[in-house]
Amino acid sequence: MASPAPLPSEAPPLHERLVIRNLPDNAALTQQLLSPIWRGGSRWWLWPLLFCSSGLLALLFFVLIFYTFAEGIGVWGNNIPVAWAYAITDFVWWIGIGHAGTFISAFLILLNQKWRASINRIAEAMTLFALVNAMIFPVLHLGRPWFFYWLIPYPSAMRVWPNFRSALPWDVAAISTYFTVSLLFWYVGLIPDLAAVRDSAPGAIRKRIYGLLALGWRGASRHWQRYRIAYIILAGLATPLVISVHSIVSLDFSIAQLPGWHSTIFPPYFVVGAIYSGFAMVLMLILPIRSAFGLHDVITERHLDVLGKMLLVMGMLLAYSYVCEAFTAYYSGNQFEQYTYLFARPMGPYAWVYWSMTLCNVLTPQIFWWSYLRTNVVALFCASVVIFVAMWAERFMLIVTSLNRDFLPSSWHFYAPTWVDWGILIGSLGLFCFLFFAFLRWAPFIPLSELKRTRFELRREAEHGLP
Amino acid sequence: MTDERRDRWAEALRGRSGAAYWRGLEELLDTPEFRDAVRHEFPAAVDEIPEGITRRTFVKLLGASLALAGVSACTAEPAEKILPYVTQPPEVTPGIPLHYATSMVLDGYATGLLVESHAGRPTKVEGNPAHPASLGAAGVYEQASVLQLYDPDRARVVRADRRRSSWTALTQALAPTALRTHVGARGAGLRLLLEPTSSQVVAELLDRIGTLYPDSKRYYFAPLASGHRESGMRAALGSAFETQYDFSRADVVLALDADFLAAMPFHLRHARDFAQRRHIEQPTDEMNRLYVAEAMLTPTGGLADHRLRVRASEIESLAAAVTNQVMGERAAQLSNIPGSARRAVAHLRDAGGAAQSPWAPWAQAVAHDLAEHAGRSIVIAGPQQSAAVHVVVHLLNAALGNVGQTVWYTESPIVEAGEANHALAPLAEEMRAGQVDTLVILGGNPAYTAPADLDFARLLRALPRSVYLGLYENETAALTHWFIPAAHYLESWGDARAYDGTPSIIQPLIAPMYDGKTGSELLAALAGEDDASAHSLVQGSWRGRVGSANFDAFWTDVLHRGLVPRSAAPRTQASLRWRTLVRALEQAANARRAPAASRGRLELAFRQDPKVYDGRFANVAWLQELPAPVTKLTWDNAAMLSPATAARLAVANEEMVELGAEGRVLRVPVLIVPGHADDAVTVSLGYGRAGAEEIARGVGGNAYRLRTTAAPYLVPGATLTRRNVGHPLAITQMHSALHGRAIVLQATLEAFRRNPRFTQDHKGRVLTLYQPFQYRTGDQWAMTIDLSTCTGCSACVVACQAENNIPVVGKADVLKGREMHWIRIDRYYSGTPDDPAVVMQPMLCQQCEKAPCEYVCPVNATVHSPDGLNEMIYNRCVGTRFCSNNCPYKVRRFNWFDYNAEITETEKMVKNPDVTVRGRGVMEKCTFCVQRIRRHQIQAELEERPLRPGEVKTACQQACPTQAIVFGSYTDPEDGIVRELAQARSYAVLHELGTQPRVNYLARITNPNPAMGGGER
Amino acid sequence: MRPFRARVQVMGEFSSAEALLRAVERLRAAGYRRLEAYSPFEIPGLSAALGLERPRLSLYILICGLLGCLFAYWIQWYANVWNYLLIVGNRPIHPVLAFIPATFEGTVLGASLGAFFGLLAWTGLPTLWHPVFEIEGFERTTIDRFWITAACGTDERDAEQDAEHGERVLAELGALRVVRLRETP
Repeated sequence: MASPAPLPSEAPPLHERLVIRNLPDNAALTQQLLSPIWRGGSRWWLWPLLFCSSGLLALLFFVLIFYTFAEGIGVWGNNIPVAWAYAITDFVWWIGIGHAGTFISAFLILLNQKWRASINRIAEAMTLFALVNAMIFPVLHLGRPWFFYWLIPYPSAMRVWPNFRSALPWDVAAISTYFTVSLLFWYVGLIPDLAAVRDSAPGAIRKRIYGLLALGWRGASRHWQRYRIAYIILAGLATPLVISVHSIVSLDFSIAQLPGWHSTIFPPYFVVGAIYSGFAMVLMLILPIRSAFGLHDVITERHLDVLGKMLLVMGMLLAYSYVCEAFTAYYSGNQFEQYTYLFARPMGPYAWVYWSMTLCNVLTPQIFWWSYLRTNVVALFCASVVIFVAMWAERFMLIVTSLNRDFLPSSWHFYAPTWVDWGILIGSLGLFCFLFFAFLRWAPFIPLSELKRTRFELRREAEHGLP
Repeated sequence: MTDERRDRWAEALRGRSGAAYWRGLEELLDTPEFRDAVRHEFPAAVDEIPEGITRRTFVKLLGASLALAGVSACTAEPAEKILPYVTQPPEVTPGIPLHYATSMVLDGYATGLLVESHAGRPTKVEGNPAHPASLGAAGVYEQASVLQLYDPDRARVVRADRRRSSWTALTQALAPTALRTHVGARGAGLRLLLEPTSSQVVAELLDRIGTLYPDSKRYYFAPLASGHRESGMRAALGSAFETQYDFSRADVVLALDADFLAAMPFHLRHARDFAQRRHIEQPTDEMNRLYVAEAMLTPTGGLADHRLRVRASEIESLAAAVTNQVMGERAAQLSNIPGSARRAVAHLRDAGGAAQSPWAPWAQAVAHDLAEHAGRSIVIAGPQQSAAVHVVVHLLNAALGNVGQTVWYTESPIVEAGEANHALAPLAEEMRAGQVDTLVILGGNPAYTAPADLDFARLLRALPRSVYLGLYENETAALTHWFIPAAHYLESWGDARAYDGTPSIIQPLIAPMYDGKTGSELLAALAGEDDASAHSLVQGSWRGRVGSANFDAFWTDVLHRGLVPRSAAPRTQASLRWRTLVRALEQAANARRAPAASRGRLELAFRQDPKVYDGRFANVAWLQELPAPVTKLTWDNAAMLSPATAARLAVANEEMVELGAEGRVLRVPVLIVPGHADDAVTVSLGYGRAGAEEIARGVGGNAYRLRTTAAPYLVPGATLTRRNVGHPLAITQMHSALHGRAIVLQATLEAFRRNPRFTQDHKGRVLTLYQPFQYRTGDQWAMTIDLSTCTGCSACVVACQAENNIPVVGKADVLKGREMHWIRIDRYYSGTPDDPAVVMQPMLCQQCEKAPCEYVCPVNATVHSPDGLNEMIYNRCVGTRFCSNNCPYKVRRFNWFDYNAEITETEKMVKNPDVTVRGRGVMEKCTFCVQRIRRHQIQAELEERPLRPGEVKTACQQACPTQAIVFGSYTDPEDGIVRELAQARSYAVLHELGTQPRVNYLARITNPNPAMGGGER
Repeated sequence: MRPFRARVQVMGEFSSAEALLRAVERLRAAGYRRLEAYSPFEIPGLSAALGLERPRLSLYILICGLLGCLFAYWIQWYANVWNYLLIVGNRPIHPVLAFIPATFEGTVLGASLGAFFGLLAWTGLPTLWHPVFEIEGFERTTIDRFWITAACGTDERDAEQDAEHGERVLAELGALRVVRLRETP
């Protein structure tokens, strides 16, 4: 694998450094980025290993899903009052992770952020696969999952309809929409590169397969024109969508009057948390990819720097939300709210979860005040892992500590997960990895045409000094 | 059981169905495998085994197949003519349940019941409003007994020496000609062991046996029927009378270790009378005052205005101290009391060191209060208290002039009450001496319940001949030569008398499912009348009593009503026998002089279990999973300690310890109970069963092992040693503090009088953004629960379970917090952990008008009906459980597994056909017994009339002994609910949430004695 | 919109976007109006240089969005307000606020599907075969080559003359390769 190219001694400040630098010409670049698809990259022998390990975990996931279907939700640790626990935690967590992808590709294209180009496809794929997981959990956690379609409005003889006063049908709408749009956005973005894959594919069969996927794209300028319009509009649609989805997920909780859930800050608070965890996930993915495929010229310090900053910003916003939440509870004068926020969480049976997740989420990003750490691969990776886990803990804390001690002390009860709960959580990670490895293996995970365009624009700016 | 054996079963059962199964089994019944199976595997087809919900396929097959046979036997009406309750049409209409009057007997005392029968299947037991011992209420034992009827573990075959035999074979063996060869011509070797009985039929049969075998003897034994009450009575009044109380006329009540509201005979009636004086509406109303002195916190103690926690052994001198003072204060009126008695009382008081005791002022104040309410007070002592205490109490009631007013005496309904043969020890003595050849045991389970020092099990096994009639193949059955399956009382004809002497006929609801026999039939066989059926015996006996002139009319009427009207025992003129009385007191005093419980050691008290009684109900899953009234403990018994004592002994909750008494040990987990007396430990009897009852087996520890003839209720010097192993206890309520939340409102009577509107901020409308739906037209259902009269006895919980087909989940799931009860009784402590104030609060679906559960359900599975019910549509529910999360009262229950998947055919027969049996993955909850509402509405429609006020009763309301629960439609001005809702002390729990509950609570009013710093609660 | 087609076309291959842009200007100056370019990435300003008019795609997407919006609100209203009325948690029978989230999602879904299928419609994709694919070496268009295509045949010159002229122009522009593409009638 290629070692990071040494920076010139008088390196300019990070934010002025190039988004991409000294790339080979288009042909070579294409060759470099697409050859893994044909030859599996410099470490081709790793692939079977990765697929097997993640595949086994994914298998565990499906076995446990089947077990739950067969026996009942009772195989989990849930009880009354804690009727929601791991499944919903996992659901919120995965959907949150999904957000960074759309955020990066849609938001940044609207803001015309050039650094987006190198990482947006990876982020989008991450979104898709996270959503696959996120869509499994709500169905899985039903008492009678085989009736999940009762949440969808369809004409039935009994004239029974979903209840749209509840937040759960909103969820169904939001998540299905989000998945569809993310899929379209991702695929539209892929089309030109699939054409490139088609045209550089060795062998007729591969040509055919990728040819079909590329829909016969030939790079005509008329196509590029319409493509641009559609792509920008999709981005414009995905941007409010990404905000709405986690807002609606947050309504699943804030629509209830449970202390700890019933809070108006939830929508922004959830969106921030989602993007926060998403960026952590993006870093966890691109750092290994970057070094494994030697993409230091495509994914440069500039990217790491920006992502580091994003972590810092989101971390601060999240910290603000925590403070704001607790203060509101205190200031409300409502004894139940006060108990949950000021006693049950910091001092209750799950206090250790509360404190560890709060400290991790708030303190970890603070290291990125130092620009050196913002480009330090190890620091970034570790911080991302910590945040990644802590954000799961946050959702757990939020759901379980509110439920296990609510209004009537007589009904308070402790919650402890079973091995099935753990297995499903780990298995879902396995499924994600499996899908993601497949994407890395067989899809152009760096947006070629975008990259070429960016380079063209940068060069032109350099020549004409255009903004 | 090995596979090849299972295959043989399958082989035997293949291709057979219904009755054919019997033959299929009978072919196997004589194989050793089967007898093995009978003892070990047979009873395994149960609703729920404690360890969880797994079940072996073999057992399923076996249970189901046998039960199928049961079905064929089961839907058959009894051959004889049984008559439905008077208010019901005599003919059976499919789908319309009938109610039959009968009685259940516990240790000889009958409680009149109405049993609901669906097409010949008894499904629910309710109280008989006309019966003095019930007045329409029913306790947990009575209500759960219907599940025992269908218990698949019940014995099914007559055995002789482990071999299958038959009733005819037995009757031949017991026929006088055959029996005389063993027991001698005059029956010198024949002994009968019965439970205390009040049955006239049995009494007559015993006499006939007595004449047939003049030298035979009979004994009565029930582990919880103490001799103390009787011996105290004999010492004080010369004969074993029954003390009758009228709590409705008592202003002040002193209960000395007496749980008269929930445990003692006639408690349903006592609770009702007591509650009359507790339920106040206007600030001007008067209410009674309750003093309780006890070691273990009981429902009665929880309701007390002043509860004194003392070790059971201190009660003696406490009672003496109170009596002494009362006699002092009322000296003028009590000239007739001889000085010797006064001295004896003082003696007894000082022997217990009353003067130095911390409770001396308490006793003084109570005595003063009693003296002030002379003639309008009651002092009552628990049956487990010593004879001396009972003596003192009789003296005290007399000294207070209560006798003849609130207290009077009647002849005991129990046969040979107070005789020496009401004990097991003499029988054991004879057995040890080898004087017994044949022992016939009717019911009970002496091998398990006998005092440990008698070593009764070994003696029983050693007998040449023993016959046992029992419901189960239990510990006793395993040791006797002959075993006869007994008929459940819902399958039997018989008669019995209530505590107050009222006789009633026990009529069967259903033909014996497993050819069970009644005690009377077995006795008849002994008396040589082997073909006499219980029915003919009962009828014959009563014909003999009322004369055959208008007997049929009488019989019909008695069966209709369930009792002989106006037949309570007359008051007897009992006067104190000073000589015996004084001697009894002096003896007690001198006994005390001997070094009593050395400090530091524990005083071990045994108590009747509020759920399994003496162990006879240990196989009733409803009761095993019923949270115990105060401790909320399920599926276990425990060594109950006060927090201070636990700290002193350095033991923690749910820690296994070894209780030792006179060399015998018992392993039980520790349960710390606030309000328990220090240096004392209380253990429930009835657990640690080792019989063939699958549910009961292995649950808890057998406290009988520590029980001796000398110390049946109290072991002064018990030891407790730690075992350093944990034992999780399935307790349904983890937190008992109110955290300053407006959940339970209470006030003292003075405070209430000062500010009658103290609940004002917790009722009425709250501000809302939306224009609420107006519930005005038609019936609008509502409920009130009076916290002043709720004792927490849990009768409502069992009633609800029976009415609404609520499954049992087992200990594992209770530990996880998955119990299914639709109504639970929350118990909150306030004050210090050592001596807390207790309040019980039944919590069920509050039927909120603005139900938080409804708007979060994505599929409209829970919505509101126009008559104000929060409805649950089971077959629409997908199980998101959001409704439960959003329920502030957490009264919704979820089917985590398919809890009904593996119950046997017999158990299915107890299900109420009017209520859906819920499957896996759906939410469920209280519906205000909507099935009852709709049935009555339909009935009213057919009769073209509006619903009558109070016509619809919910199951919990119906069962409540104190009538704390009132239910009705507030749009009907005639309905009692209107008045209750309008009460000053009504309020809504968590009112500020704006859920607008249809269930209102009546704030608890206590009446502490101002002289005792009464304001403190 | 009809994809670019003509009976005779001249095509020139270039190695850079700049060269392509120059060629476009030059050809338009030389009077070639019906031009089409092929490039591995979108070249800013190219469509302007080619003088392509902006299609109605956006308007169509807007309409799809509005339809999605209406349908989403209608189905909720029909289900909960009109077709089957229930008292649910004492909430208003027609809870407008509660219907907003799903309505928003419906809007986005409608518009997004519109955008995707609109793209297919306006680009005529999928078109798995196209004459240009027959040109040997054209596959490098998606990698690093740029092609300009001019449709030949005006009122003055017939197609063939026009094509020859075009070829000359392209050669002057330094095209790597010049091809004449004849559509088989």
